Amino acid sequence: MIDVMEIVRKLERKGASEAEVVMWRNRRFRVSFSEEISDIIDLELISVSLRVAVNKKIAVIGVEDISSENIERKIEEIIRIARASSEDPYWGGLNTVFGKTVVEEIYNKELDEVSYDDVRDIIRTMVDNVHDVHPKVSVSRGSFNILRTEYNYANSYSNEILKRSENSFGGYIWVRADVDNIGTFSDFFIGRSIKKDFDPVYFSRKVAERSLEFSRARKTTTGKYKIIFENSVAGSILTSVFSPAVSAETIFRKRSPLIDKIGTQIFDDKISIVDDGTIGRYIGAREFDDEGHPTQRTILVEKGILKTYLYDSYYAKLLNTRSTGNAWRGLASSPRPSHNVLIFEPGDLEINDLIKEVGRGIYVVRVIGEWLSNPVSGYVQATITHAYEIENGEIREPLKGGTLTMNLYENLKRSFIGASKETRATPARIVAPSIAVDNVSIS
Amino acid sequence: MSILSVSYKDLLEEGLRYIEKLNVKYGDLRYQEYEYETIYVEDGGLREYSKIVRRGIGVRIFNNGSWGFSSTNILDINMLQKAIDKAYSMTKTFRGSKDISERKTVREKIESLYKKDPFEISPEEKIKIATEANKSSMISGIRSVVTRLGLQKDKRIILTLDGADIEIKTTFVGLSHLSVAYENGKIERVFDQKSKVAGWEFIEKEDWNSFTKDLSELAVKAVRAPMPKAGRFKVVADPDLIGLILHEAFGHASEGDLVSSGTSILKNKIGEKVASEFVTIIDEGVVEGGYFVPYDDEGNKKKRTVVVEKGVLKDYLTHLTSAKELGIEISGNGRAQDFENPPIVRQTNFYMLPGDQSFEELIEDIDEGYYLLGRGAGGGQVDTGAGTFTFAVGPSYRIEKGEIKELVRSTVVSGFILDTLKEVDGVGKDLKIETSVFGGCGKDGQMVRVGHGGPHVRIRNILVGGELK
Repeated sequence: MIDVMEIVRKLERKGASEAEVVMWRNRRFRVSFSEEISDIIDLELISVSLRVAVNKKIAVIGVEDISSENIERKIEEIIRIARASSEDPYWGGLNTVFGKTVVEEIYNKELDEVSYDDVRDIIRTMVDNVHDVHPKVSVSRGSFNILRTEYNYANSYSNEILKRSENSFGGYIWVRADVDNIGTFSDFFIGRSIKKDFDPVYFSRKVAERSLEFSRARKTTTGKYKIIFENSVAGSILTSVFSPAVSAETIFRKRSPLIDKIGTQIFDDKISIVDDGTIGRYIGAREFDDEGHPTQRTILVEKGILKTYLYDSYYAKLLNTRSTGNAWRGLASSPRPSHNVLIFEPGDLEINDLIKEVGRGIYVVRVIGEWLSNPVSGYVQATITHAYEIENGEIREPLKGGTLTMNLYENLKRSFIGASKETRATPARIVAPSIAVDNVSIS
Repeated sequence: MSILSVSYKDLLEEGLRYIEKLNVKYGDLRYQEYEYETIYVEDGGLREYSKIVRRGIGVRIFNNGSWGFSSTNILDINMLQKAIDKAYSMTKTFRGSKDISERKTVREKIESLYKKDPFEISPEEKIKIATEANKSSMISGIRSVVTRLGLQKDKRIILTLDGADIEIKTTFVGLSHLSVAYENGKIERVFDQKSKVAGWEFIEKEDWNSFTKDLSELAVKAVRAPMPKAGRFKVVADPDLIGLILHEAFGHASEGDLVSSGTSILKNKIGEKVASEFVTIIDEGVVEGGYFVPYDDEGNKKKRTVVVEKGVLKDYLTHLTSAKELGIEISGNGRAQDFENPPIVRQTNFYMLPGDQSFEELIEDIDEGYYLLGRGAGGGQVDTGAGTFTFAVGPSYRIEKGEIKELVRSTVVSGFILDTLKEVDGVGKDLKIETSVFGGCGKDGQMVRVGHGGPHVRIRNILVGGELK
């Protein structure tokens, strides 16, 4: 096993004024299927990331060739690269605040004990129930995944190795109804405990039923509408547009529309948003962030007023504040601030009451291309693949197609109607209710 | 400088002999060495110099009608045998009824052309080029600029139970830039990149300072520009954009695994008219401007696949399993992101063949429409089953009565796969194919490098997002 503290000390001896070493040990188990199982992946890999500062000159190397000779070579190379680099004038040093927040349910032994046979049976259950809804509905694609991450961290100031482990399961099915016309629908599942968080019968039947409904979808028509974004769509839009805008990095680099907006009303006063890395059942929760800083609950928006941004230690030092425990890193990149679990606080209406409140509009349940939205301006654009017409406060005909546009800050400030009570957690580390908004353009 | 020692080839051969003893229908081993360097410069200063080094072996077993896959980055025979055993045990539990195509296999070593190894260039020289390019773009009206220099070396060896022994080395370089302009509360960002399968000589010959400055000037103009009018319009798409349209609107739907599983709207459409007669679409592994895929990751030679010929669907993109399921020839499109992932069907360089019209001829009879540009666009997405696609468009121009008019801001375009290409009524005589060392195409959690392009193309009717007026 690789000793990350030992590598930190070696880097220091070679000339690093500060050094940081991370080791991931990941298990990735994935079964892909359609009507039957097609591919299975089960592997465990170790990756190591080195970061050094030689004075204020920074270099990062990510290594998946973990032979001791290669690690030794990379120790020499990273020092050479750092020395050749120019100084980062903003460098304030590595993180010096360490600790673990208590986060329950983040590692579930149940997932370690899931056998190949168990997974095969779950998949069979989903496929059988899809058929059971209608003989002409079939599973075109799907996957079932189990992920386990062990994370070891040390830097020049940590004195000891910080260790954390998380695991989760998830997947999706994509279903096709081949009736009078073709209808499709897909949905995902995710959680920490298969027994507690997942009902394959209910899940697969629901997806199959929706695919049948969408076999008779007609195209949307151009206009300005009241829209309900179903929870997963709302979450996806917030991930693409709002999350980058509250990162201290985009604030400092002047790529956010929320610069100088602390203390101002950015959304309707019925909207509150927090980032909370301490609720173990949500994916993204963890005991400490990717530079050893404990995670926390951070209120970002309270009754529509922007309260703070999300910080890692680099931007916290630069902007003279404290890290919020939001550092995330890749194999070969410095940590950057991003959300742990972004939670859009639920409203007080059942979804059916929210539909009644809207009266006439469109209920959008699936989009593509929402990630093409512009977080720098807040301009949201997405293409509707699955939606329903709302007429007289009730769900009516299924719809497809059309490009949806709005400005997140304009529409959630001046045209926000309400949010549902129920929320949903997504793999993008966001928990959102369904959200109703007026004045959304569809063309 | 190669870092592969003879012992790793010996290890692969020993692993293959171990697979032979399992008496399975098929097996392969895929060794990969990968190096990727990024020099990241932001607002005039070096933000980070980073590097990734990967080395490992992916193991795939086909038996009992299903695939098992595992991999290891601890390169000794014990760990390799464990990975093989694991892949084999999966095929015992997860039995299926799939089959694979039979094929002729070859042995070949092939390397992309380059003159100067980018990993032999000093860090100082790389930092200098990226920093100067970044500083050149810091003009009035610009709020933030990011420049990345990207350098890649990828070496793969594929050994298969049925005799393929392929070694491919690819050297790939490029520079990307983002300019963010601000004026009166409005912000616009414009991104572009230039990459080539080549060595450091490509970086040396380009004028990167002009490249980044032009982007900043475009961002400053775009932030002052109006939004396009939303609605259906006649448009001319430039080669950058037509590449994206083809990739999203058609390329994914022609992937054989999606076709055979019923996830593509092109299922059962071979021989049918799916585009106008002006449209011929090719997927080709080695082409000027594109990425380098002479063989896929199953050891199949990548053939020049004519997917659409004069508007008629002719072929799908396939790998070992999908070719068998569809009863067609293997096209050589089984590609994996890396040794940690198994091959799935992916595009290589997907492009439209040129026609015979000049740019002026393409726009002359457009009364009201847009000249849509890919520069600054941010990619796209498709729902191959529902048939819906969308992609971003960079700052573009309005066309009025056959003339190019004012600039309009970035937006999105969307449509239905089977409608859009039938609306093509003019194809330019130019051809441009491009690729990127900064990204690629994502599918099933895997990202692979791709190329795409075509000529200037006129589309009679496409949905442009924007303001309702």
